[in-house]
Parts: sequence; C-alpha cells; structure tokens
Amino acid sequence: MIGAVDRGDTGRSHSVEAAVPWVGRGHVLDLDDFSHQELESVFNTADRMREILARPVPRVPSLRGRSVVNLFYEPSTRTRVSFELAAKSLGADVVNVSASGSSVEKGETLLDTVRTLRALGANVLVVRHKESGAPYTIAKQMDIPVVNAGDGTHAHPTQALLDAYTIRDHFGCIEGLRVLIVGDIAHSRVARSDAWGLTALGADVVFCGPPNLLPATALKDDGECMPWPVRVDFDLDHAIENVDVVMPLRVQLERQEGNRLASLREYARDFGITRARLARAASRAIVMHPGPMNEGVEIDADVAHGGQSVVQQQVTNGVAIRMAVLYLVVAAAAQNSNGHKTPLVPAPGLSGKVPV
Amino acid sequence: MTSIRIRNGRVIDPSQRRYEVVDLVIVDGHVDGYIGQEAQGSFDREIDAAGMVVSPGFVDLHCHLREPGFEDKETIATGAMAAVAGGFTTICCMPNTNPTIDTANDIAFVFAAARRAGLARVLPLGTVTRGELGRELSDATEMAAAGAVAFSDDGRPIWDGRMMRYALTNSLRHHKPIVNHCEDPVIADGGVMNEGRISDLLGLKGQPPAAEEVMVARDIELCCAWPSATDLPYPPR
Ligand SMILES: [Zn+2]
Repeated sequence: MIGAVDRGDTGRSHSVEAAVPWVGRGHVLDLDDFSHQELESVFNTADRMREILARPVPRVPSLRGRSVVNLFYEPSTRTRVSFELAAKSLGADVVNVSASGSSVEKGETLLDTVRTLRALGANVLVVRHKESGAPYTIAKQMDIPVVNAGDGTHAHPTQALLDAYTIRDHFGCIEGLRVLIVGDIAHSRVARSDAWGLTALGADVVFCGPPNLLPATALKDDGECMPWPVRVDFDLDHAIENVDVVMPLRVQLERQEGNRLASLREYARDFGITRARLARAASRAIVMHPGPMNEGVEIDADVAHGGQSVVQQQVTNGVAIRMAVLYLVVAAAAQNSNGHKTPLVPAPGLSGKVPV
Repeated sequence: MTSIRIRNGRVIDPSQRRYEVVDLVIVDGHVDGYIGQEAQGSFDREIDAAGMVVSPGFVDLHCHLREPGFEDKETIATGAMAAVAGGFTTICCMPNTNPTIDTANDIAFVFAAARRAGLARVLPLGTVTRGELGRELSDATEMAAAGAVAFSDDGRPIWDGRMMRYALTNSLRHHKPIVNHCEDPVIADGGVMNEGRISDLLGLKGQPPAAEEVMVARDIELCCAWPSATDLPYPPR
C-alpha cells in the first residue's frame, strides 16, 4: 500500500489488468495489490524455473551480464542464499552487501548507499531492512527493479509467494482451503504478506495467537477493522479444527518473555503445534514454517520433521520463486525502457532469453 | 506620524467579528480603523492586498527554535524568519535546547537573539525541571521575572507525579502555565504513529491514544487536588 510505485490501479477484483498475467511491475514490494491472475503467472514462471533447477547443470543465461545486489541490513541466511542461488541460476552476477563491515557503519544514509550501488552498475536491488517501508523509500528513488526481501514487521512478499506456491503444489488449487497462521502476528511480515497473497487466491485465512501478539485492530470492537480479510481466534484448539494448512510462526525468543507473555512455557503449552493438536486438523493437512524454527516452542520436533511437514519443500521452492521474481522484474524493466507501459511478458522459454 | 492603507484585502478578524473585503488603516504601527474601498485620503504608504487575507498576526504557542545547541537544525533568527513568512508575529519557543533554558540568563539570551533578528516577537518558555531531567525544579520565579511566558519540559513528559504536583502549586508564585508533554512513555512504547488500522497495515509500531490520555487524566486530578495557576495546555484529543 505505501508508496505505490509503478503500479497503476491497485484494485484487486476490478483491476483493468485482471486479464494480464504480469502487469510489468518494476518492483515487488508486497502482495497487497497482486491479482489472482498475476500470482498465477508468477507460479507458472516458477514451474519453468523448477524445470531448469532439475537439470544436471541448473543454469540459464537469462540474466547474463546483469548485476543483482543483495543489500541486507538485517542478518539472514536462508533468504539471502536463496536469492543468490536464484540469481546465479539465471546467469546474473551477484554482489552481497551487508550493513556490518560496509560504509553503512560509517553512517552513510540508505539512499546514498543505493545511489552508489546504482552508479556502480547494479541492475536489481534485493533489499532486507529492519525498518518497515525502507524498500519503498528506495524504490521511489530507483530506476531499477527493487525486490523486498523483508522489511521490518511489514512485508515479505517472496516468502508469501513461496508459501502459496508450496500450498498450490500440494493441493493443486488454493481456492477454498482453510489456512491457519499461528503466533506473533503483530510482528510478522510473513503473516501480513501471506494474508494478502492467500486471500487473493481464495483461501480462508485465520490468525491465531494470544491477544498480546495480535495486531491492534484484531482486538478492537469499535468497528475499526483489520486491513486483511482474515478471521481471528485466540483459541488454538478451536481454530485448528479441520484446517488444511497449519503455519506456526517463529516466536522471537528475545522479545516476548515476561512482557507480552508470561513465559515461553505458557506459549508452548497453549500455542505450540504438537502431534495431538495436529490430529484435530484435516487428515490431509500440511504443516509449514517460515523458519528458523524454535523446536519445542511454536512447533514440536516430531511435527516439524514429520510426514505432514513441507518445510523443506518451502525452502526448495523459494529458489524457483525468486528466480521467477527476478526474471519477471528484469523483463518488465527491459520492456518499460522500450516505452511499453504494461507489457505482456511471456513466460520464459527454456532458452530463458529475456525479451529486449 | 506615519500612516499605511492596506487596500482590497479580505479582513479576517474573529475578535472583531469581521470577515469582509475592506481597507485597513494603520497609524504608527497600530490599527486605526477600517474604511470603505471608495474612501479618499492620503497615506504615507499604500499596500495592495487584492486576493490576500489580512488578519491579526498569528501566535504559535509551541515551536522549537533549537538555539542554543542545535543550530544545524534551526536558529532563533531562521525560526523567526519562517514565522513571519507564514504570518506568525508571536512565537513561543520550547526550552529543550542544549543547554536547556533553566535560568534568567538563559531567558535573556533568547530575548537578545530575537531582538537581533528583529522579526517575530519571540517569547521563551523555561524548563520545569533543571536540564529537563525531572529531578529538581528549575527556578521558575526568577525566569518568570526575566520574561518567561510558561514552563515546560517539552520533548519529555513530567513523568514523576509528585514533581508535577509541586511544579503546579509553585505556579501560584509566578502565575504562568505549566505545559506538560503528555505522553506516558511506557504505554507509548516507542510507537511512531497512531495505533490502528494503518499502523497494522504498514507494520509500523503504533502508539495508542491512551499513552496521552493517561497523563492528561493524572494532570487533571492534580489540578483538581491542589490550587495552581494552570490550565491544561494539551487538551485531550
Ligand atoms: Zn514540542
């Protein structure tokens, strides 16, 4: 929502681009304005990327000669490595910049840093920042694609894309599925972006957690409703009945104890996903987790590594999804620079050539 | 005797219940009266204000001139320039400078710099507690005698209710208002915007109205419990 950049109409259901698979968006900052069709076009592109990744040499030259800069102001392993592998599989050059050990430590401002990276020849910026909205500030100033790799407690669109993609993989279709997201929703960028993406695809999403970890509007009874079309439940044993997807979020150990929660023991007792609780979900239910997991707190080890867990598939799918996102934003940028306003970008052929 | 006629402006002056296009005559720096646009007369100077609003100078009860200590942000002179550019002829400046405005000498410094700037009328506030540290009362009586118009630890709430009590009752000596930055910092908890739908949407930390209302409620009770010269300057929303 904030700082709409190169987006045009953001209406989801009545969008004029509804019939267009990819609206040539130059940036991917959140899923709040993605249409069902646009999400499907990302997934179809990711299907092609997965075929590439299955090859003996999982590499195509689609982004050869382009530089993808991973600018991470927050520590991250899986997301950064996932973007790096995605970019390399598309033939791009990858540069990793982290806040520590760079000019950021000398007090350089965010915008000065990105302008410098642009001047050095960056073609795509992948940004992770601890402040909500930082990638939007950058995108407004940049003539190259910006991909949000997680901003504060706001959004994490590629995680939400890989979550939806993994669910689609498993069930074929997301429409009508019941998805339960459990935990610290108030501070979760994953829950926020998942809510946008999954509801756009027709899922019935429930946020479940102790009141002190839910967004402020989840507790309001004065008519100020939550921004997302989701339901809220404080009681996990009730909320988990017959759901198709169970997604516990990471509890931030350092943040919660003795403040919003009496103890992690309290949390694990009432909101931990145990084998017994999972038995109340639909028999076909899958268990997801954005990682890294605190086993024994929000999820028991036997659930995390059990037969219903798709956590490893999520990680694997992350690379294909990020390849799709990088491919699509670069293709859109290439077309935009040719003067087309909302170009139709064909799904990549196996030759993987970017249209110019 | 010098006279000025301001022609054709829309005069807005609620104190005189005026909202009309009329000419205004000023003599020796004071409003002399209103005359019709057709009226004749000779004046030392005429100003055409067609399409403009003519009103009494605005008063800003709460501004920050940042001097001394933060001259990179603002000085008394630049703040006074901004004020008159926007129609403000009187501005009251908060004492959270570095050092803070704690003494009669500090008050005199602000007046001197304002006089050098020669623009808006600058009326300084002094601190309630020395250094705005909330530990010891500043000498409000001395500062009031030097021209302080009110007292505040602005930028920080007067967190200690007992300190607020004695600051209020001490105002019976100097008869100036106490201006509290009403914000319970623990309830505010580092929030950066109003708590609600938009803070949830943007993933920004919200600050609930209760953070302000709790301290306003306390100050109302203190004002009811003991006599003071003070109105509540931060009204509840
Ligand atoms: Zn202030």
